[in-house]
Amino acid sequence: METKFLNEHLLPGQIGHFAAVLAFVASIVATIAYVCAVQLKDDLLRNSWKKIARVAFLVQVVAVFTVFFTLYHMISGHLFEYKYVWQHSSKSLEVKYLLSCFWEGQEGSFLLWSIWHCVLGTIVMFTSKSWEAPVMASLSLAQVFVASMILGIYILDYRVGSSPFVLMRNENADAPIFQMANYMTRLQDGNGLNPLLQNYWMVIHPPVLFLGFASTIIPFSFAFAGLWTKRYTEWVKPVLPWALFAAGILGLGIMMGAAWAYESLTFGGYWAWDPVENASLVPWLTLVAGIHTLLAYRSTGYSLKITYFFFFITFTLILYSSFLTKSGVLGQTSVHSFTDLGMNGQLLIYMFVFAIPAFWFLIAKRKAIPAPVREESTYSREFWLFVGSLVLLVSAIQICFTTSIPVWSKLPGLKDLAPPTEPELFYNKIQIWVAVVIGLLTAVTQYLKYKNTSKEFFVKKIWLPTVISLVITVAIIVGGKVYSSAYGPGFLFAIYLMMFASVYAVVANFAYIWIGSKGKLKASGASVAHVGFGLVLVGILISSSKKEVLSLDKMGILDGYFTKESKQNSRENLMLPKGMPVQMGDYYVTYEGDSTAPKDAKTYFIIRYEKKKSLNDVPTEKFTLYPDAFMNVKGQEGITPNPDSKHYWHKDVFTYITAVPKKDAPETDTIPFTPHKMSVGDTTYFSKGFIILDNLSPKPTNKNYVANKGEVALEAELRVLTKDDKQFTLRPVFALTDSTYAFNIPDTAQGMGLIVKLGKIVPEEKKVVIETKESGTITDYVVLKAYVFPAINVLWIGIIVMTIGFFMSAAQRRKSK
Amino acid sequence: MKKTNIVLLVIIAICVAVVAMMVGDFSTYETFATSRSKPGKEIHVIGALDTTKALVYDPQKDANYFSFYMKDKSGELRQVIFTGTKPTDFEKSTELVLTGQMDGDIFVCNKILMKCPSKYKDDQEVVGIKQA
Repeated sequence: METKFLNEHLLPGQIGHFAAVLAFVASIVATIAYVCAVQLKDDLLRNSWKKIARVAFLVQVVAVFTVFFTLYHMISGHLFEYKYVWQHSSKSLEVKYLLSCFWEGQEGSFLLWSIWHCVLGTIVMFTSKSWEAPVMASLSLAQVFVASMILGIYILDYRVGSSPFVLMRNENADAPIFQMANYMTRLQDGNGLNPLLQNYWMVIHPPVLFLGFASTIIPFSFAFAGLWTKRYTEWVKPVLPWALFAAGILGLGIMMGAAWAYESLTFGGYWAWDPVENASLVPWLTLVAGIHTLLAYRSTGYSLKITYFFFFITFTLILYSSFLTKSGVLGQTSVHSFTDLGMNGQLLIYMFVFAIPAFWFLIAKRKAIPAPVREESTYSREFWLFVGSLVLLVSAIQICFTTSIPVWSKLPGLKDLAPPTEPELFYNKIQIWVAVVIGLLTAVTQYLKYKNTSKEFFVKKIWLPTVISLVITVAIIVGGKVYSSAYGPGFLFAIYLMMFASVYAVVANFAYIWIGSKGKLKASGASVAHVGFGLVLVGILISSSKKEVLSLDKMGILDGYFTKESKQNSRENLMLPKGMPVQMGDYYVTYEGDSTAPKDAKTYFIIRYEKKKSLNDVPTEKFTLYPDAFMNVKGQEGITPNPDSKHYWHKDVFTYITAVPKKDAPETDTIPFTPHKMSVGDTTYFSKGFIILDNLSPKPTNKNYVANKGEVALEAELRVLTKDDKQFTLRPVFALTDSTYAFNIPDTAQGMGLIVKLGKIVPEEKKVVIETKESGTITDYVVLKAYVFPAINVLWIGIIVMTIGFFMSAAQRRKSK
Repeated sequence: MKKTNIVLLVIIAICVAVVAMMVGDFSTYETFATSRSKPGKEIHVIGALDTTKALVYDPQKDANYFSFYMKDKSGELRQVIFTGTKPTDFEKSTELVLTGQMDGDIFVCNKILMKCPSKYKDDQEVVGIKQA
């Protein structure tokens, strides 16, 4: 019997699904019509096909936007009868994060990709004149594939795509709840958005990144159109602004992802060489390489073939990266969460349908692509642009090869292959050399002229930037005390080289705005982008090589005992009992308590930083950080933390919570200290071992104590021996100012939860009173990690400058048409 | 020979050298037993948490000590010590990927990747814990 379900909203789903199918069909029509508009001989016929194609493409645009707005309507209206809405949103979600629900799911991210294709396609359609038909043919074909990803219909038992419009009751038809006609009264709230995505970066980063992904198809399509219509050289002019735009946006999108990771993830940084990050970085590298060989070609006629190669490989790698990240193949290697929607086949077909014809065309027509016979001069710009592009390619190959390990392990005999255990070191030790070479080339190459440069001219122009860079590099190394590296002297040497190379890239390109372009800023897009790139390198280098762990827990580590293991398993978590200052680097840090706000699911932890030399000093600087965390989300045990940072112009102090106690135990009052009257040599017990008073000294060595004039002080040297054979020394101090005001400085054995005070002196018995307290009483505490990232702002500024540079160049190249 | 060809050859040589160097650094998925035969080498071990044994994390004693028991794919049960905090929702994990090495009878690990059952059908969600 058919159940009649109550209170459902079926219309939006029907409209959305219809629009999705329409988009798919219309893009097929557009593709065929555009192919006809290229292939047919007759002008009249060609024009009429072109008209059909335009209409079909625009219909497709309208359909895609309809899908988008329907889905948005469903999410904002909380129509939880739809699986996508239930899965990715909830009623308690703040309005600003509704958009993030889109891209939490794969269907939504394909939709986003499709929307950008629509926008870019419409612009290409009306601006690219004779290139419209062949370029739009590729773009329409891409739209066929992207539209198929959200189709969700069955063709011969194979489900094509995954529709965001399926109903909960159809997907889980057997669940008891869906046997009831009034199930909607029970389905009141959704599963909610992953707390990590509830961050403003997550609202803007995916659209920008996907615009970058989407725009890489345009250089591909132009290059392909060049081969297809046998206009092998003409396409390079219209493609340049597009390629520059794509590289600018893609770079910005990638680094926005890094900013998100820095602000809301707990990697302890902005880049972790995670497969998902790598997958979007690799096409950016090849695209940038392609732009440089294209420039070389435009001025000299060299490097055209390799430009074709770079534009083809870029888009292929974009498709490969979406295969890697969306197919679930990364499973055991990535920290990002992706589920397999059973579309691996579809994703692979998408990739091969574009890659195979393009590369086959390139090989088949290689003879027809013009190339000069004469060799390029070593003193020419084009030669070094070519070399630089190949270095970028090497970098891309290394990253891509390693990121693909989960794919290699699908091959017979390689089942047990796993990624490197220390990915950061693994990538850094190779990519640092790439950065050195690229930095140097970025600095020098603009000073070479196309075709040939006289040595005198080159030396005359380059010597000043070179000297300035050397001075600045030495200043940074000495001023920043960059004298050691966790990975040994070899790595330190590489760091010095990279420091010079990246400073050189900044200085030389900055100088070139005057030396080369004579101060015409409008014509200096390339220099601006290069300055930005250099700043990015400087920022990356300093912030990672001089990253400092503040929250180092020295418990149980003997000083001076540093093995490879102790470095790897560095103890970066530190416990802060509530209200008790703990020394971390230059700071005394106190956990003051936590707080919550209405309509905000997060708990904020109040962490007060005070910069001072010792505990009783007046702090030279004070600030409070509020790292937060989602507590016990949906029955989870534990917390999902978000970091907080204090931003300075030259560094960030970065803190996040890693553990908190369970709050169900009632807070007990502080238990008073227990006094023990002792003389030197006496022993007293505590729950985990015993304490021996070894010595009493009038000259305290406790770091927290600073002697003042007229003050009398006494320090007890206590040896603590625990049941598990640990031993450490505590030095509480008792001091008298002017014989009237007495105070004392306690000492703590953190891991033991033991606090000791030198309470008072009993001169007549030649004894002192040692007071002890154990941390059974400390019920409120946080465990946190804290880092200092120096020069991180140089990185962010570099990104902005580089992106501006890309857009300046794109605008300039567009005008010069 | 043309200069571009020389450059290409040099680049290819560098690529081969880099790949050869890299392959040595690739790790493998192993079991506790095979890990014992490779002392000092960091490896990945896949297994499942033994929920009948105690999980120990007491930040008041040591904020960087988390101990639990895991059964690897061959069924061998070992104590694991992780230098760090207890990951969120650890008890509910269905599969663990540990990075580290054997030290006597104990597996000392510095990175845990865990898979949790999502509330959704048979989907598996990967939740990562990075530990420097």
